[in-house]
Amino acid sequence: MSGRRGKEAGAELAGTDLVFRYPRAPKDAVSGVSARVSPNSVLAVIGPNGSGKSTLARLLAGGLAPRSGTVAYGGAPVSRWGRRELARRVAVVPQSEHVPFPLAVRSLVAMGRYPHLGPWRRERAEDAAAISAALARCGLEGLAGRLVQTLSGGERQRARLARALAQEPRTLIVDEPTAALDMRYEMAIFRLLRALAAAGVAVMVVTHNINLATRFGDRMLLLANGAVAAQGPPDEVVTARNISGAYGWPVTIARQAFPGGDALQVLPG
Amino acid sequence: MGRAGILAALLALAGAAALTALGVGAADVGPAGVVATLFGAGDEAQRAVVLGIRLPRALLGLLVGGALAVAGAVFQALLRNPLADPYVLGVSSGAAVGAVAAMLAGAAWLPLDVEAGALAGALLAMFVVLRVGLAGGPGLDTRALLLAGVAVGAFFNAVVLLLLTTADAESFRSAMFWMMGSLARAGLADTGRLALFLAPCLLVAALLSRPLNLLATGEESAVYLGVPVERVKQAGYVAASLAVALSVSVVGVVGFVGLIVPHAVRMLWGGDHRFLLPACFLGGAAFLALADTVARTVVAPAELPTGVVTSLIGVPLFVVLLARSGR
Repeated sequence: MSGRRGKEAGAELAGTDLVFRYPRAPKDAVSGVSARVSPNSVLAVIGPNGSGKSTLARLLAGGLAPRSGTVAYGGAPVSRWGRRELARRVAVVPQSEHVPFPLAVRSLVAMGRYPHLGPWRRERAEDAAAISAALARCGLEGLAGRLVQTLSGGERQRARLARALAQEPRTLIVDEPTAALDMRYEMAIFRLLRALAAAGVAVMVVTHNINLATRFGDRMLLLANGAVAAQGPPDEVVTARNISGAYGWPVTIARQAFPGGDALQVLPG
Repeated sequence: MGRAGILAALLALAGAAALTALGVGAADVGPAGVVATLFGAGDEAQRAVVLGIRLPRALLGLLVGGALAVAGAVFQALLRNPLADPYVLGVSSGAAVGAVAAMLAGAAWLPLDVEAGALAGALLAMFVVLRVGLAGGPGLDTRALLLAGVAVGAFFNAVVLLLLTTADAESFRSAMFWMMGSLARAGLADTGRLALFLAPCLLVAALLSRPLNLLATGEESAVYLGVPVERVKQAGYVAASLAVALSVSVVGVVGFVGLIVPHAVRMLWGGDHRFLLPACFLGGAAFLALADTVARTVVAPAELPTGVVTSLIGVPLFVVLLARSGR
């Protein structure tokens, strides 16, 4: 982060006993889940399809209101924060997004400055600097003038992440940031999240890549059927027993000599 | 050319369109003559034609063309649908019911003129559609709104057809002309009053331009970026619908301006609403003033319905633009 807004220390984003059911759905998408996103660390959320990962992310981000349970930022209920106040502190990268009209990449990323602008104010030097820095961190400098509609899926994902970085958030929630990325960018994004956490940002990442989640996460949350199946340090969460149980498929953990190298292997079943 | 330059060029275009509208017709007055007349020169007859007849009509064309284009752009952004136009929420159909009812019955037993009838019908349609959009949940549901707009529009269109079956040939003809849109009825007082009421609607639209940019990425994303999404949607729908209702009540259903002007501006210069909305206003103003000039001159002394001309001229232009921009 640029440091100009470093004056305010990050705060914890905490969801407690969250329950949510989509309209007309037969069962709760999330039932009784608690999760904390804390400064200086990466929380990696894993779980099979439909286990409630994205719903949890949206609940914590304030995109959905829980049926019961509370979400608090810095100890105060999220509902008491103004939307703009919150957006200056918490940024969200949604899983996907459709932009129906032509839009330049830089304009998309510039939207991240919205909560920092007054109603009449134009883009200032510090806004331009934050936008440039965000483009650079996501490797998009060369694409700033391109239309979002002409980007590949992976490039779009990076553009959305850059928009969130332009918000200069203290808390970052990222839903499947690497689903459309090749391995080089996937590694780059996880390293970026790691670096952000090292700089004090509270990071939550929802991902299907269990190996990278294990490697880059400080804490992990394994969801299954809308409930917490396991949580804690990665080596306690990612066990053959936990993963097999949650995903319904036999796996084994292959130990490697280099740090972070332990890899989940899917058995023939 | 920068944005300011483009807006200046569009302003000049609108000015040129106005001069043309004032100068062209049965009595041809050159641009110099028009300017002279506007500043008080010229003989009595020329003043009567330019200031008395053409000026209110040209101003009305500029005003309504601009308002419809802005409303179209706002609807497209709020509904996130490129097919949206100012009439997508059924306002024009409501207006048509009111206008036709006033034409058929008003003269006989209601103290309602066509304009008041149209405005009442438009406001009724707007109220019903927004009410349905709010019914489903805590906020305005875009999908429900769109469906309600189409459904209410279809219902009111059926009512218009029903009313027309009872009409005599004369009323039938004037009803058809009203529905195709015409600027012929304009007086300076009507235009002035319309400007007064349209101004706050357009101001609200202008204030929403930055949030509208963010809404293009989706309502949820806009929420995460700090946009007060519900307030923006409600203010936007009400302002744009009111602008359309007011315009339609004076000129009838002038099609196409509000659909293609926003698209043309986006294709040529991009979709930032801080630029798009003023550019749409100026472009729509110039387009309708010119189209109306064509409407009243090509088959003089008779007149074509303005709404027909906007489509006849606008569609080919738009198709060429569409083909050349490769979308």
